[in-house]
Amino acid sequence: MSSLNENLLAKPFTHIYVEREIAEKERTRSILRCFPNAEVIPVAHYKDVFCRPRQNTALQHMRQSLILAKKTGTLIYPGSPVCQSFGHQHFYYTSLCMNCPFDCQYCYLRGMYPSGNLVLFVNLEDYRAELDSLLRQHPVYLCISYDTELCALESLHGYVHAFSGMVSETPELTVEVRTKSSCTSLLQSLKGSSRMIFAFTVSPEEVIRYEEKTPSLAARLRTIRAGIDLGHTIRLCFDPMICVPEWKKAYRGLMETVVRELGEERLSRVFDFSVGSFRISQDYLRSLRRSTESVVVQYPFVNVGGFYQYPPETAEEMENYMTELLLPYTDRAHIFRWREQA
Amino acid sequence: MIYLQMALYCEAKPILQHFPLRAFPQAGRFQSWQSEEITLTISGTGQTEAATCAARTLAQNPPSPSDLFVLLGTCAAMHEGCEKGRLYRIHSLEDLGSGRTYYPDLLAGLELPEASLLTGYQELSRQRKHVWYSSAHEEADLYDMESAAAYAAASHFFGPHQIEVLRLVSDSGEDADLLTPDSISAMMEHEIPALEQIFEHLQKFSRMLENQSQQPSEKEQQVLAEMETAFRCSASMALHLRQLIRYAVCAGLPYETILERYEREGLIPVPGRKEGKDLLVQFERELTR
Repeated sequence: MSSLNENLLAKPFTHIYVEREIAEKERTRSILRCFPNAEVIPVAHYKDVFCRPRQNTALQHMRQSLILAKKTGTLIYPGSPVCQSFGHQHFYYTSLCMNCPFDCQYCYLRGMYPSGNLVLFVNLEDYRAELDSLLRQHPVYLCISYDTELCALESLHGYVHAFSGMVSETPELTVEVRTKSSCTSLLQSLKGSSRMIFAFTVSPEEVIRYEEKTPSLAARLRTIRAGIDLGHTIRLCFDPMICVPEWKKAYRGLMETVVRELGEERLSRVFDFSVGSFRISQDYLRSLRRSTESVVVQYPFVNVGGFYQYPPETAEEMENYMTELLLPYTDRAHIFRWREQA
Repeated sequence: MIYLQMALYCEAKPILQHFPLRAFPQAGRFQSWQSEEITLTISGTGQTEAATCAARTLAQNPPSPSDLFVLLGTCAAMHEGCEKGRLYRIHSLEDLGSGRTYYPDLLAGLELPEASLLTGYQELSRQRKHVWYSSAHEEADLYDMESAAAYAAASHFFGPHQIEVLRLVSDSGEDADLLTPDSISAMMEHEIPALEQIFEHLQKFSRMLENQSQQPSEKEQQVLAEMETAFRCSASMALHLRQLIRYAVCAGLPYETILERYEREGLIPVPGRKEGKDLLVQFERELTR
């Protein structure tokens, strides 16, 4: 969308919808202080705004509103089959925020949610209580940044710090924070832990052009380098791999850049790697295709068991190729492939 | 197209004088005027009239995904914070009867002060204001007798990004008796320069929605119709072919050149469905390699 079009739209976060029940919470007030000029609109329930019919999610993503709410019901879910469990038996994820400030054209969130607006749940204490209950039964591997990009929003909510604190107090808890952000200052403010894993998505620039509003590859690699030097546990995710024209050249170039920018010694300190080609639930893809003409999304995927993916031979070739590119720098045991768990 | 709905003729009069709108005789019970870009309809006062008018207008002329619906008119202020003679953009509308609240999306960047609006069946009086204001409606800034109902009716045709509610404060409820058609027209006339800018902006916004449309072009649809026959497509093959052509268009791939070659080489039309399926696989390979 051109900048001319963007000028026609209101600016992001000029409207903040706040559930009346949590309007007086300290976290709510603290978030609202970040937006002194925003129009604050009280709502009974976040779904009154988030789940309206016929919303234009593509435009909303360009000009997001923020919705502050209380999450009720189940707060921590068992991991989805399309997600990598990295060998953890008790693999869970939680949704502290719905939607993302970044706007990747292929992102399943665009197909999963009826709105492009950002919902932030402010009742962290309830999440903590449910997590404690699970931890009384068994160790927990918890992904906290699946349906969003928590690191990029840390200055608003402080949740990454909060979970880092929980990890240091709780030996049975391992947390994964998936990110594409260049959050160097966040990493500098946290103490490294083997059970607090920062999983960075790295993509070639040929793919980053479809990841709107995200940092460049160079910026991500600077943050990764700083994270390794600071003693953080870093995972590199070559996932989702996108079948762009001349994808082999693109991913070979990506690997060369990663090696050049991080150096072999730092690469050897990367905790593990994940490799996976693009896949998405059939329902999400249908909705995603309606909202965008992105070539990445309109690719003629094949439906395997309710999930759309590249034709098996293409997916296999892409993932094998990426694995081969990684093998000079790590062993096979440290490369996780979603396909292998399916 | 902007579908503009107002309750009273005296509210619309300055707009009819300023914008080149012509009477539209087919509108039936509701007075209506049209230009190439605006359709203005007078609903009459009250929720039933407003909802009926919106439903009738929009059912008669089904809007496209780039059309907009604008509710414009006067209202009363619920408190002193809302200035008389000021035009507000409404960010939430509550139906006093059902308690249901509607939220327009406010995606177009209009530079207007914003307010919440309560819509009821009765005129606002000092006594009613006191009762409503102290019974869970204390958040309401403005009051009118049409908007929530018209919004609800229009929601069956439009998404929340396509509806704008603009309200000009004419009174505080207690002094509504002092209003005359002329004084209402004068207040609305004062807003004409602002409305001119708002309509211009909304028309650009509408064009942006039009450009965003995902509908296949006529040419694409024509090629698809021809190829469905040429490939002897079943329903599922037709869906697959449609997706391949969509992909080719989005990727800027020369799919027509490939299809022309198939035609030159006598591959299409295919003799049977099996050959059609095989050729579809070949077509996909050529597009995705």
